[in-house]
Amino acid sequence: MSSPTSMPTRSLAPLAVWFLVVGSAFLDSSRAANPVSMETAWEQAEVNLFNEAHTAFKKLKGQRGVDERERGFGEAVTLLNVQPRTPGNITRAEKMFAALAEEDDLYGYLASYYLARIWEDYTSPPQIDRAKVAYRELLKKNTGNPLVEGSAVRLALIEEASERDPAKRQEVLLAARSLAENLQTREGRRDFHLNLGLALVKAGDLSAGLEELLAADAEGITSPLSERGAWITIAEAARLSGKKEIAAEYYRKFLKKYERDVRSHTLAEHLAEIEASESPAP
Amino acid sequence: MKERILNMIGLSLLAICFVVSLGRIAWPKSQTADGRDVETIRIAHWQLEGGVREALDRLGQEYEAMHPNVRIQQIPIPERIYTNWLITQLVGGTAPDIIQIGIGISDERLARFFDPITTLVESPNPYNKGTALEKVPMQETFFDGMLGGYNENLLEYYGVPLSGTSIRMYYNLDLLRKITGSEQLPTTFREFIALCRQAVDFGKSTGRALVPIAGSRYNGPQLMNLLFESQTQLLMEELSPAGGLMRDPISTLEWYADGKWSPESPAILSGMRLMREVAQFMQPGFMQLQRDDATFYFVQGRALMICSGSWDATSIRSQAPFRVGVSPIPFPTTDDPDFGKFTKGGVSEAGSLAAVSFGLTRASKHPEIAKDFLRFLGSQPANKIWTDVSRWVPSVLGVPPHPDAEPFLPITKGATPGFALATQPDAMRVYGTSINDLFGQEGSPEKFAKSLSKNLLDAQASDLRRSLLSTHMNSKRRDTVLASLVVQRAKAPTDFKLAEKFDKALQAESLAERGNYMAEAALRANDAAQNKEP
Repeated sequence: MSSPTSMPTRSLAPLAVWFLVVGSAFLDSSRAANPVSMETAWEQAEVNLFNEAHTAFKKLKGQRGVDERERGFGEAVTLLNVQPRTPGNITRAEKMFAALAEEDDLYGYLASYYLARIWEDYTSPPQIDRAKVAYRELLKKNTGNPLVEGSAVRLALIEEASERDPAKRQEVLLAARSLAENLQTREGRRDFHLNLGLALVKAGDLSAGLEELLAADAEGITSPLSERGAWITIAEAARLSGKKEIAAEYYRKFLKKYERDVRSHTLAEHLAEIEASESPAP
Repeated sequence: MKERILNMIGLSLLAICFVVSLGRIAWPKSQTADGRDVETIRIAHWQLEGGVREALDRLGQEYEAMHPNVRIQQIPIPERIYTNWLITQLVGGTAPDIIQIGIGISDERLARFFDPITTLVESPNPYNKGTALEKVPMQETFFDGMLGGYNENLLEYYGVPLSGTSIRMYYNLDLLRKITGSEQLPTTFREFIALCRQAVDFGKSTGRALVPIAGSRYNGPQLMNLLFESQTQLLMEELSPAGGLMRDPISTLEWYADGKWSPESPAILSGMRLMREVAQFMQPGFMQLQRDDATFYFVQGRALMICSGSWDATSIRSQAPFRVGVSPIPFPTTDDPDFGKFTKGGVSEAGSLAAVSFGLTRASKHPEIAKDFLRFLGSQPANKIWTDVSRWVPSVLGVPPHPDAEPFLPITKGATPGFALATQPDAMRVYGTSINDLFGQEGSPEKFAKSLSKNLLDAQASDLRRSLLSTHMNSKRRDTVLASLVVQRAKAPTDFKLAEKFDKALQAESLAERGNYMAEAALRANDAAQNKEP
C-alpha cells in the first residue's frame, strides 16, 4: 500500500537527523572554546559586543571567585543595550540597579548613576525631575568617581536646555557653577567647566564663559576634538571681550598644534589683527 | 531493488557533499600548484572609478609576493547596490574579510559587524620599516592623523584610509585654447563667468553645440553648493560670535527658528543669485541628468568644463580624447562687485579627511592576516603604489602624489565654509522639489526663497530629529562602554592606555550629550516658532 516514495522518505528522516547532529558537533568542535571570565565580559562590553557580554555575565552567576556585585552590575548595564532593545529589558535593568544602589560602594554609586540615566534617557516619557534629584544626591555623596561626577554636567545641561530666554538661561547657568564644589576628580571638574563655559558663551556671557573654559583647560583637556573647540572658543571670546593677551596666546597654541584645521586660516587672520593692533605705530 | 540502490547512491553522494561542505566551511583553504595551503583574503569596495581596481590588484600582488600563502581577492560592487549587498553579507555572516567603510555603514552596523583596529594603529607599522615613518605610530602617519578611519561616536579606529579627496573644475584644454587662444585657467569667479560667456559666443559663432559647464543632478549641485556656502560665511560668523567658527545643523535650525535668518535673508538670496548665474551655463534641464550624462557631455567635447571630485579624475582623463586641465573652484573674491559683500573669499579644505577607508569585519575567517594586509595598505610603500597606479591623492605622509593627483591636494588657505540650506534627506527633498523656481525660465532667487520658506524649516527639523535618534542611540551605547571602562580602570589603575581611553570616552560623551540637549532645544524652539505642541 505504500507509495513509491515512502521508503526513501522514511530512510531520510533518521539520516537527516544524523547529519544535523554530526554536522553541528563537527562545526562546534572546529570552533575554539571561549572561556568565560569577568575580564572577557567587560572587554566585550568595551567593544560594543553587548549581547555576548550580557550572556557572559549571566553565565558567571554563582561561579566561584566571582564578585557578585560586579557581575550583577555587568549584567544590568549590558542589558541596557542588549538587542533587541525592549522596555522589559530596561525595567529589569532598573530593578537590578535599584538593588545594587542600596550599598555605598563603587557598584552602588555606579548603579545609582545608571538609575538616573534610565530616568533621564531610557524611559518614555523621560522622568527628568526624578533624574535631577538622583544626580544631586549622587553629587552630595562625593564619590570621587569621574563617571559619577558627570552628574554635574548632566544637571547643568538639563538646566540650560530648560530655559529659552537668554537672560534667564545665563542666570540658571551662573547658579549651576556651585555644583563644582562637589567635584573631586580632575576629569569631573574639567568636563563640568568645559560644558558650562561653552553654555555661558553661547548664552552671551563671554566673561563668565571664558573663566569656566580657562578652568577646564587648566584641568587638562585630552580629547583633540574637545580641545580644538575649547581653545577656539577661548580665543574668540577673549578677543571679543578685549582680552587680547589671552586671545593671542590661544590663537598661537591652536595654530601650533592644529595647523591642519579648516578654521586655521581665519584664526591666523584674527591673530594677525591682534598683533598689528599691539605693535607700536611707526 | 534497482530504485533502492539508486536512492542509496544518491543519498551517499549527498552525504559526501555534506561532509565536504562542512570541511570547506570549517577550514576555508585552497592550495597552490605546489601543494601549499593558501588563505584567501577578500576585500570589497564600491570604487569602480578608473584606476582603483588596478591599484588594488597591484597592491594585492605585492602583498602576495611577500606572503606566498595568501591570496587577495578583490570584490568591486556597484555603488547603487552596495548597501543592500553589504547588509545581506553582514547579517548573513558571509561578509568579506575587509570592506570599504562608508555607504550603508551606520555606527550601529560598525559596532556590531566590524572589529576596531585601535590597538593596531597605536603601534608603528612594520611595513614602514626603512622609511622615515618607521618608528611613528601608524595613526600619526596619515595626513589627517587618521581621523578618516576614526569613529568619534564609538571612540575607536575602524578604517585604514587610502586617499585624500577634493572637488575641482576640469577643463578641456584643447577647446580652451581654441576659445581663448591660451590655456590660462580662471582663478576668480569673474574670470570664470567671463570664460563661460566666451564659450557661449564661441559656440554661436562656430555653430557648434557647446555648453560651458556639463551639469547633472550630481555635478551641478557640487559646484553650486560650494559657491552658495561662500555667501553664508560672514552670516555664520555674525550669528555665532565666539561660537567655534564651525557650521552645524543644530545652530542653523536654532537661528532659523529664532528668526535670525531665513531663505529671504540678503546673504541667502545672494547665494541663490550666484547659483542661478552659474546654472545658466549648464545644459537646459541638467537637474534631470545623471552623473554619467554629464561626464559624456564633457569627454565628447560638448562642454568646456565639468565640476567633479578627485575620484573622477582618472576616469575622465582615460576617456577624454583631449588634454584635461584641473583647477580649484573659482570662488568670488571679497572685492567682487556682485558677490563680494557676503563672502570671506576662498574656502579652506584644511579640514578634509582621508577617505577610501577599509575596515576589518568580525566575520573574517583570517583576522590576523586581514589585519596584516590592512597594515600593508596603510604603509608608505603601499600608498606610493596606490597613488602611482590609481593617480588618486595619497593619504600617508611623505608619499609624493602622482603628478595627475597634485591639483587635488587640499587648499589650506581660505575661511571656513558657511552653512548650506540643505544637506540632509528631508531638506534636500524640499530643496529639490523647489529648485525649478530658481533655475527655470520663470524662476528667480526670490521665487525660490518664497517656495523654500513654506517647508524648509520643517524639513530641517525633521532631519535633525532623525539625526538626534541616532546620536541618542550612540549615547546609550556609550553608557555601557563607559561602565566597562570605569570598572576595568578601577581594577587596573596603572593601565595607562585604559585610563586614556576612559578619559577620552568621558569627554566624547559630555560633548555628545551637549549636542543632544542643544538639538532638543532647537527642535522645541522650532515647534514654538510654528506654534506647535512639542
